[in-house]
Amino acid sequence: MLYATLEGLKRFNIPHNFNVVSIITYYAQWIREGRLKVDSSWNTEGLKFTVQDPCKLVRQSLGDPVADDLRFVIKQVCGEENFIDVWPNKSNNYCCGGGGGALQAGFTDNRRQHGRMKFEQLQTTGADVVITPCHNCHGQIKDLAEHYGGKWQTTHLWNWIVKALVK
Amino acid sequence: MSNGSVLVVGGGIAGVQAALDLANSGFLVHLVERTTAIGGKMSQLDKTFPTNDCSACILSPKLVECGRHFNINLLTLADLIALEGEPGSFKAVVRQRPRYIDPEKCIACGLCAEKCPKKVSNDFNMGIGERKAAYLSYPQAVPLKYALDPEHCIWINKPGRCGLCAKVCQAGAINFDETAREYILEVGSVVLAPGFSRFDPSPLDFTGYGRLPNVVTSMEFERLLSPSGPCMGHLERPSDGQEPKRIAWLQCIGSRDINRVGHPYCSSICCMFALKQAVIAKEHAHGEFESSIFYMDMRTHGKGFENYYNRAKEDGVRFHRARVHSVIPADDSGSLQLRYVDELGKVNFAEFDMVVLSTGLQVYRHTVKLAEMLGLELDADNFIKTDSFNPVATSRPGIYVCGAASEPKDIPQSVMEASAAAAEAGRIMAPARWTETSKKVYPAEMNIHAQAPRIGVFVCHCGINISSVVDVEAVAAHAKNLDGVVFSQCNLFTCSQDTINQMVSIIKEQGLNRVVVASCSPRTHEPLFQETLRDAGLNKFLFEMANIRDQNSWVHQLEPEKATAKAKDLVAMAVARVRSEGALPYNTVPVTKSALVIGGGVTGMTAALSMAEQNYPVILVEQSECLGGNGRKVYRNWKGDTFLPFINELTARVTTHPQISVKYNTEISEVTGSVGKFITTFSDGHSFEHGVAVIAVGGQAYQPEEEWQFLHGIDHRVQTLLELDQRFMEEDAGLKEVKQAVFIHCVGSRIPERPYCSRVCCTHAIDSAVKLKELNPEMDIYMLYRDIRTYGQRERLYQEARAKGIIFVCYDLDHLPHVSERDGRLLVHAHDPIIDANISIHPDLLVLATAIQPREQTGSLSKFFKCAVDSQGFLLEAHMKLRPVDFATEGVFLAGLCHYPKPMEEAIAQAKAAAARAAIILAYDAVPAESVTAVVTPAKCTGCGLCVEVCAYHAVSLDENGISVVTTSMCKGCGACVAGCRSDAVSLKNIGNEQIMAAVDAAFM
Amino acid sequence: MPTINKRISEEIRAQARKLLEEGEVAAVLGYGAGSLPMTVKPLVVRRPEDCSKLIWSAFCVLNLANYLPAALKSVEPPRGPRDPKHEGPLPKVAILATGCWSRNIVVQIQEHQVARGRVVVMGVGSRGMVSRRKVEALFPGLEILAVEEGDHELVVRGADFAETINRWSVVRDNCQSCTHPDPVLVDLRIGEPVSERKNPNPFKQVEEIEQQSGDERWAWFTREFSTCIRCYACRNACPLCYCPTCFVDDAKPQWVGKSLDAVDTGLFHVLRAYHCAGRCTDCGTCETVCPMGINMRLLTKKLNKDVLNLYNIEAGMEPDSPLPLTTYTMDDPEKFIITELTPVPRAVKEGK
Repeated sequence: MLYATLEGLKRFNIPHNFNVVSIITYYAQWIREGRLKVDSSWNTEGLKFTVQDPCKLVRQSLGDPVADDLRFVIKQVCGEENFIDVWPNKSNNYCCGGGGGALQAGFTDNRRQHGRMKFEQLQTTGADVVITPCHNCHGQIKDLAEHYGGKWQTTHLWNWIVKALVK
Repeated sequence: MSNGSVLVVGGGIAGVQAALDLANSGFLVHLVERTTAIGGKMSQLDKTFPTNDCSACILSPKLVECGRHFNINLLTLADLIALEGEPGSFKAVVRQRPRYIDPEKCIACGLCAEKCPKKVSNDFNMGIGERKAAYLSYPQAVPLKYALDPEHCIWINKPGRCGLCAKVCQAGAINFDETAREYILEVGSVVLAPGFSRFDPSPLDFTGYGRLPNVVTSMEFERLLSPSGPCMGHLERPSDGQEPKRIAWLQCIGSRDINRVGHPYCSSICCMFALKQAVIAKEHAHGEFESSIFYMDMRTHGKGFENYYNRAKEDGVRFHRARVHSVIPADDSGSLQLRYVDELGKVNFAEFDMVVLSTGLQVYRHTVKLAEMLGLELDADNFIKTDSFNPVATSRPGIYVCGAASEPKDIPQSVMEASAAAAEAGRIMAPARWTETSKKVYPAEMNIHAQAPRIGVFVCHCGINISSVVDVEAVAAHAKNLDGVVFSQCNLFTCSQDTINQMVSIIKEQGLNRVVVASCSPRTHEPLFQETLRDAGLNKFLFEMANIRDQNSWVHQLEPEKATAKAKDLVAMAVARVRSEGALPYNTVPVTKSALVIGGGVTGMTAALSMAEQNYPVILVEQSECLGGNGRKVYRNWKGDTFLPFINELTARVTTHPQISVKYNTEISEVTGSVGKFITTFSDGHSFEHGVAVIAVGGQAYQPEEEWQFLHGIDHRVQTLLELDQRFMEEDAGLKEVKQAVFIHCVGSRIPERPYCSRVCCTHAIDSAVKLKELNPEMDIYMLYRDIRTYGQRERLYQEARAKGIIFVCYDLDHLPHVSERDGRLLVHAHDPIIDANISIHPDLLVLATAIQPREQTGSLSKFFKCAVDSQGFLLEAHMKLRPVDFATEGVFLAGLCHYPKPMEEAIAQAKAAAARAAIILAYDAVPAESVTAVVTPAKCTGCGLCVEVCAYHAVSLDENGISVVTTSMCKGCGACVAGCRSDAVSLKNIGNEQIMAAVDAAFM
Repeated sequence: MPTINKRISEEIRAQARKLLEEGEVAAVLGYGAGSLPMTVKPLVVRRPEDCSKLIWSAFCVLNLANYLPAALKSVEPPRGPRDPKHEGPLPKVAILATGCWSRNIVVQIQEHQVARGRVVVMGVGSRGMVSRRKVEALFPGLEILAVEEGDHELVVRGADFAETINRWSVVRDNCQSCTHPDPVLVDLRIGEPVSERKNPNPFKQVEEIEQQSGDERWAWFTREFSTCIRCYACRNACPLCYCPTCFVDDAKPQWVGKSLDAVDTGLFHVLRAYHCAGRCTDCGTCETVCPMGINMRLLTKKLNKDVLNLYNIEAGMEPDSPLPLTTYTMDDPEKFIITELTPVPRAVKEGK
């Protein structure tokens, strides 16, 4: 929706008087300003986290800045030492293969084949949790883990923010 | 009248070349260099393409000449901070930062650096390894003087702390209190050669640079390869010091980049750079070695480059036309994995031990500031803007630019521009020639002919280089007892200024009439010591050197006793030789101050004008009935400037110039003589005496034939680029009606019969295609190419063409396009590798980008001047890198298409360069010739003619009695004739039987 | 029926007389009868009536090209070193030449010793010249008083014997292995042309020595040259040796000692062979004139083999043929210079 809005405004030259911003940018801003208080000490087991850079959020719309914000939030929320980045990353990251209707289209084998590289990339990190700030990525990556035998848990970002909220 | 001095900013190869050319033609040069030593980027290179010469070996002689030149004022650690005035009378303010070490006292012993406790990242080695705060930037630095780094020196930042260097310096050269100085220089013109910086790939995170230790930039790799670099020439990878066996090169990092933070232009040199590194790295490797180059287009468009590319392919270098997505670690040892898609669309993974990023060139930030301060226009990429028809002129008159600061370019191109800038600067200052220069005056030379030999021997410690292995005192003592030796001493550094001064005194006090120096290599130091003899009033040929360092202490480090004995023998042999040597004349050849230019095209006209404007009479010979040559057939350059107005203006200037005399419809029938005095006879019977000659006879277009004919000459719709240009110039309305056009690149080039790239055709074809699109935006245009070679800023033209919707289809020699005619329509069959399918196009216009060949007469013309042509028939220059307009034969120069295909702006630069080099000779009344020449004993000569045949300089001939005679002015003293003579009838002065047998006897005593 | 050589003799005399009478040449270089059986002597005939002295036999073993430059000089008008050069063409000399001698003349032209326009080559195809020593060896201890020549046989007569021997069996070694018996340069043809001879291995004698071990070859060399008396007949008879000061005669420096010392003697022969490498046509004269019967032509033959195999050059085959020492091509073989690349010894690397 973020991408569609941004791209549509641009391509059809629609005059508008609002900004289109990702919530992740605000998470990062609020954490820096101290308005959103988070603490990563809940992570006593040292759970390791990695991240997916959704195509429509990072490479095709808001670019590296939002990817940097995403990582900042995760590190603040889960502990900097517990974050393992993927390579390549940010605007260079690979597509998971689940967007554009692939999850819904029914060509399951094709979709999983295309997603093989993403699986191997995530597997290499050895992370326990993969954070996917995109619904399609979530669906695809969860399916890839099940299909190929990845041991990680696929989640969104907000789950962990909640966990780290300071009461 | 103009000032007779000039300011050159930048001490890289371009700055040094410009400085030497200007100083040698009669002007005082102030050479301003930002760092502690001259040499620039070229001093950081290991080897240079395409000759694989060691960079330091071909560069240092020029640096040494610059450092010692009487008329070059070398200001290191200096910047130009202000300039006002106008051409002929500028006032420049140069600020020199303190070195903190007095160059008059420093003998470069290295103790300060050894003792200095502060380690600093070594920027000469691109940040690999460390140097000290007291440092010498590299071992062959000119000037060879240490410096203190004010940013990191402990004392300079906190006086009182440290100061170890001052304590150990034996010469007392350290001066912490030194301050900056300002110089006001009044000069006639300014030449800028500030060079280039390299793109920093850190922001391109996908390359892994900065994160993965075995991903390095090309300059870093160059330092790793270099024998003076951090690994001493043994190739080691950064992570674990292991020898890499598989290396990948990623091209276009920071260049041809319109998506990320790089630059849109092509950096011109990186394809050859990577090829060279791949070839050299293989030589360094012992055993198996794999190299892969990942590229978009291989740009090997210079002379000898395509051959180099072909040989690299044969050598096993692998090429992948692919952009690598990311570099990721393959394992924990530091190896890297690349994922790439090959041309068949298949995904491949490859593992490498190292990845080298071929980073692009860019302008220094401080160059941009300098340009702003000087009020110079810059282009969109901050390169200094030059004029289409005067490629070294900036937007401000009197200020010239050369080298990569105006556009990325390689060394030969930079050297040509440097000489061209010298020509332009010289033009302004011509009336003031020799007014500000000083001439060295030597004391009267003693005639020692009747004296018994009184030999002085100076044995050098060379710091610890010699003395750590050889017992230098014992060698000096042994020398004292040799026959004829009356004086013998040891020195710490014989080449240091104080020892040189002392040597002059000793020669006079002791009445020495011959000198032997036992030290290092005569290649670097013979001229210095010979000068010293002249300063003491001795003929400089009463001198011998014994190399007890490179040929002794350095190679026998584990056997000091034997090394000492060998040193004694070497000294004895040198003494034996010098004992029977005599004074030799300083031969000169008088110069006739006029020039001959052969070829009346743009190149010839430019060269002629350049010399005429310096007030030398010129004859310009043209074989046809009009001037302009091939230039008249070309429509415009890639920037859109049409040629005809420029050519007409140039022709008018030439035909009206009082110093130029044009001969039309004339050819050369005979040439005799040599540099300083040639006598040329023309086909109309007239003769002309001239001191120099410039050959600019141009080239011709290849006539398509056989599998490259593509129906040219048979079907009128098939035309060459020049034929299309003709239509553009005539504003042929029919071009608007063309609906589909096809261009075929590389017609006749880059094939076994002609294994070179014609350099201009990609740019020319794409420009023509863009022009067609302007005439008819609906036209479908297809370009069938092998590699697109729009180098430098021409890359923008390629981007424009693609943006306009021109379609580019790649072909290779296994899939040649096929052209036929069917039902009145042209049919072009080609294979598109991207869709892996055959395509058919019905163009209304088929344009062939044909090769450029040398004219047939080039070979026979070159013979007149005893010059050579290469295997393709192009004129062969003296050295492909550093002497691109000289021949091996002195006094003759070349420029333009007869050298190699090139666009007009480069031909103009080369023409001016040739004129500059020629003008150096014309600036003198006489030029020095070789003194150690061959001489024939007529009584022993049989006239067999062998010496005539083997002489590479055509300096030997048979006289009217059939006896051999040497023309001294042409002899270079190589000795080939001596080696070939069966009858012992010819010998080299001072290197004759007597000297050699004396040395042999001394060795066996 | 007169023998081939008798017919050739007659033709030579007739042609020589004609050349002299018509003033075409000022002298004819040929052979006259020697004072001993089986010998000839070189003869310079300047008057037509002396042409009857010219002979051609199976014993014409001296290389006439050796005398050609001097003969040419002798017919020039006298001139001191400072006198102006003679106007107009200089007189010519006619010379008999078989295959090898004609090639020597070509080399002399290439080396500027002889001007082509001044020489009239009377070309004779060679059927092989007989070795006097080989004949004598068949009659040890006996004095040979006369030898009559047939086309294929020789009748050897002594005081009390007369024997017929096969001609080819006593022909010289170099003639037996020769492949170019017919002259390459002919202005006047005498007799019938002789066809090129096929010899699958003209260097057989050389190879027999090459295949021996180093010690065996050294033994052969010392033995062969042990009797050399440094008379320099070999050098003096050779057309290639024309240096005003031969290296053996030089004193400053003295390249080679002049005594009979074995090293000096061996060095002389080796150096002379190198000076002739690729120029020698194996005319065999050196061997023939050696008073001690030394086979020194084997040294030059070996070098000729090397030049032929390495550079495909044979001396004097045509006036434009390349000279070995002044011809250079990019693909000249280098294996004898660079035998292998030796790695840098560890000590040096580590010591640094």
